Amino acid sequence: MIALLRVDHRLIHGQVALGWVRTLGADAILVANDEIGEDQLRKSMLKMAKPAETKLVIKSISQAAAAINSGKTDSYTLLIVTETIADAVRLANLCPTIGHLNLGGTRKQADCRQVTNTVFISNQDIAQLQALAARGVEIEARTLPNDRKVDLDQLRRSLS
Amino acid sequence: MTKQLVLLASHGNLAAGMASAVEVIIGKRPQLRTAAPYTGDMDELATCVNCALTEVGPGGELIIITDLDGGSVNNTMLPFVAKGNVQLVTGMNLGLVLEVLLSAPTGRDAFAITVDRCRQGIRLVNVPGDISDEEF
Repeated sequence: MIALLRVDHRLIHGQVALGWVRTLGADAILVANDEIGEDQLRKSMLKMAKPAETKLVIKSISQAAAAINSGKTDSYTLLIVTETIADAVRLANLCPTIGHLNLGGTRKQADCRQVTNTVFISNQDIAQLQALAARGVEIEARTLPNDRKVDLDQLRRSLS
Repeated sequence: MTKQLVLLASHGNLAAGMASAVEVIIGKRPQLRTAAPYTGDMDELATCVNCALTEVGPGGELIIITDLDGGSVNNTMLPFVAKGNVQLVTGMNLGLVLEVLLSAPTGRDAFAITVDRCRQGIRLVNVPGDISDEEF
């Protein structure tokens, strides 16, 4: 089952490896990203960051969607991580079984405004997330599992 | 659930620094305590432990994590091990503290397993490891 889809521009790091994996009881992490595939250095850094008992699979977004939709990931308690909101939206649109999207951290970019201490978001991101929410996907922002969830309405209000 | 407190004790500010690092990674944990920096006063340390023991109560468990094997901080803690509900481990490092807070091992056997596992977190990294890719 998919435990969570998380957007985190740092992919796997302390908070993710320890806090989130443990709280969710995840036994596998799927990093869905189109750039990492051939980047051996980045791949080995991710492998070093993962918790020992957790499987780490790195796939392009379309291959990640294929794996999820084929049922291959069903027997795992899976944490999916994407680097950007756009990537997460793309994956969620390909996979109807994704029901929850957590915004953990995004990079500050030109057209983005800060909505929580780790999340920067653009109007385009909000529009895409709203479309997801309209079909029942839960969208919230939290850095750590014990933080209070900031929902999409609150994020949108922070932007205006 | 057994009431459990985790007390960090060290020379200087290692314990306080460790608590701040823990907070960055997993947030504040109410069961975490730090003893004041040890600067020579063993009685002050012992008082701190007694406070923590009172707080966990007879049915609870106190886990004390100290900095250095053979150091004065750890030596001060040795008599407390005789009380059945104290686990004492030395060689404090962040991985161990996080693991203890997250998995809350109770009893000596569980604790020994936790310590063994965390010891593997101290490792040489610049050694080429397994570079194969995992699959589902």
